[in-house]
Amino acid sequence: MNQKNDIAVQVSGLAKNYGAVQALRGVDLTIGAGEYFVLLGPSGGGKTTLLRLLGGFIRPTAGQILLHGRDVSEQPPNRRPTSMVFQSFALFPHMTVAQNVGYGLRLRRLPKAEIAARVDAMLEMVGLKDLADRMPHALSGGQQQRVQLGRSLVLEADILLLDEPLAALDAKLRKDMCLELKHLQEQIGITFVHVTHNQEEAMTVADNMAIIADGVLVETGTAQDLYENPQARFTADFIGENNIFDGRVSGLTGSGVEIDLGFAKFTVDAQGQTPRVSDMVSVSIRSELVRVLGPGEAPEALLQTVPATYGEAVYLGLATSHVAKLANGDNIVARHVSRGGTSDDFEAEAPLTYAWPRTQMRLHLS
Amino acid sequence: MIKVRPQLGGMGGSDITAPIPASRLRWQRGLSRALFLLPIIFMMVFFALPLALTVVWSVFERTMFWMKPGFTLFSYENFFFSARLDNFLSSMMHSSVSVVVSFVLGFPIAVFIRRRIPQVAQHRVILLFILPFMVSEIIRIFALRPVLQRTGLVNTVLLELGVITEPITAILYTPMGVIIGEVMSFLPFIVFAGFLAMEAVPKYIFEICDDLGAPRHRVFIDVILPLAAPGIFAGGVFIFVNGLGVALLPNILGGPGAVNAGLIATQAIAALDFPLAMAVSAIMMATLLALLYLGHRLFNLTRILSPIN
Repeated sequence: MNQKNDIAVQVSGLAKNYGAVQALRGVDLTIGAGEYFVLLGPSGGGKTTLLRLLGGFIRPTAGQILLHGRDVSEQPPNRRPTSMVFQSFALFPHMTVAQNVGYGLRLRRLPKAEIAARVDAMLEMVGLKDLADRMPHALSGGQQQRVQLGRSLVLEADILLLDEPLAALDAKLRKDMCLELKHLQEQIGITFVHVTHNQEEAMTVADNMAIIADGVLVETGTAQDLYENPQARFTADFIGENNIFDGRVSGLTGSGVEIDLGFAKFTVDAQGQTPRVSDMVSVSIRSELVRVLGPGEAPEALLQTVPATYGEAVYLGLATSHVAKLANGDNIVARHVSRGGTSDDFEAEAPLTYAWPRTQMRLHLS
Repeated sequence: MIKVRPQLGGMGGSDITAPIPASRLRWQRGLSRALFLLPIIFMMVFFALPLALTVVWSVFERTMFWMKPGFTLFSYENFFFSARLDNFLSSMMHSSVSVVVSFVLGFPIAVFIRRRIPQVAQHRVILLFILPFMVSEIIRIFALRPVLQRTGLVNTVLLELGVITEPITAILYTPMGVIIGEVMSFLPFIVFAGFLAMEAVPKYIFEICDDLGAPRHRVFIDVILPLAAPGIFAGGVFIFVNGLGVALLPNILGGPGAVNAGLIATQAIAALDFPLAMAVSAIMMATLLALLYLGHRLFNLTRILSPIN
């Protein structure tokens, strides 16, 4: 429908205040046409505010919203090329499935036959063909969200906004619906902007995503970028399971940055960043890259090691987390694939060495 | 049934878990059952039974000062083949007009309160509509006379302003006067009913409508009306039935052409024709039941008290 290199959403300097509360501050964001874009972040972080600003349900305090190049900052929802899927089961309770889906077309005064044909086609697409005459209260949660999808998609808007569309569904259904949403978006080719606080949901569907917290856009990138190479400390803390060490830059040697953590000194590659001596910075390492070395097991070269006192093992099915205490009292976690049996076990209070590849450590200046 | 009692000083913690004596449990259960039974008995003896007797008494024969058992349809004949039927039918017309006027004036107020007033203040605003009931109905209605009469407030002001040259006489001692009185008396009920009815219209509905670009009148016709219908109907029936039944209004504000069922019955009692008064009451009850049946078939009135999930 749209060429991939078009820009669907361009937001600059966007802010929204509720009284003294700053729900959103100076957000700049660009979303390409035909992208599946996810706004991910903790509850109350401002991601729903951003979505509702895009949809026109609230007016920005400052900043500009361009949708397909047109400034819509002050336009009402129906004058924008967007359509919204609401959080939970927002349907007309007195209309059948088909009437719910067709109401937007009825408002546009299309001929009855055309409405019926388009509703039929839409119900087929969202898999509700046999339920056309059901009332909303006789549908399951997943089916109700499909009706909402149908109601929005039938209008053929260029941008679909989804406000936590799967939040009210149980875990299994959520997983299935995620993939369905993804495939639906690939099939139709329009831009989807999807808000969620669920990391797995976000990673399943997103082409690109943005992390939003405390009213600020923290970082954008693909799921893989954000998981493997987060720039911000917040991202490292929020996505995946990372061990994060805060310290002060104590020396610079070429591209190497020496960081004093108090109980140890790490040397990390600057990765193109330009820290200065005595800056407060953070270093992170994903817990699945950390290995626990038994007493007497010699570390290989290229490994960063720290001594730790073993705490406990937490069995999580696929993985087992080995939690230990560092010299400064912080926890460090190593996640190993569970091997079954007891070969994995360490004794509580045992002095062990936690180790990981130096090259996998990431430096966060903010 | 298990209550946590305040622990007295010096008593052990084990007292909390000590079983309550069976005799006391039985007594408490009996008491709570009695609390439900008492009002039921009261309503049976003083409401349902007299209403049923109304129908029985309406076919009794009239005596000089009271009535005696028998079976005659004379009272019904007396009602249906006289000017009383005309009066009854025209008072139904006037009541219907009052219902429509009250709805047009009152329902927007209810919608406004739900949509535009902050949640916490909504009930306080509704409370304002209860204030008129702090004044006795007879005084409220009677106070309309000096406003509406030939030399009353309305006429004087309009004459002074030069809007009219002759006083308007059509607004007192006429059906118009009764309708004005009915709307004044019953408007709060459509506000209450509408306020409750709007509970059945979830907030998100308005956002969907914004998103789909529904104009205001379509939102009202396609969404608010169908969802709020049971509550609106209940409020409407209340006003309609009171318009038929409250004798005070036509008595004080009406004239020869404005006699409702309540006034017919009152006049029959004054004339010591008790079977006729009973027959009029029975006919009013039948009218109400027919209306409720109709409303139930159309809107399923049980929905009033069960907001959608």
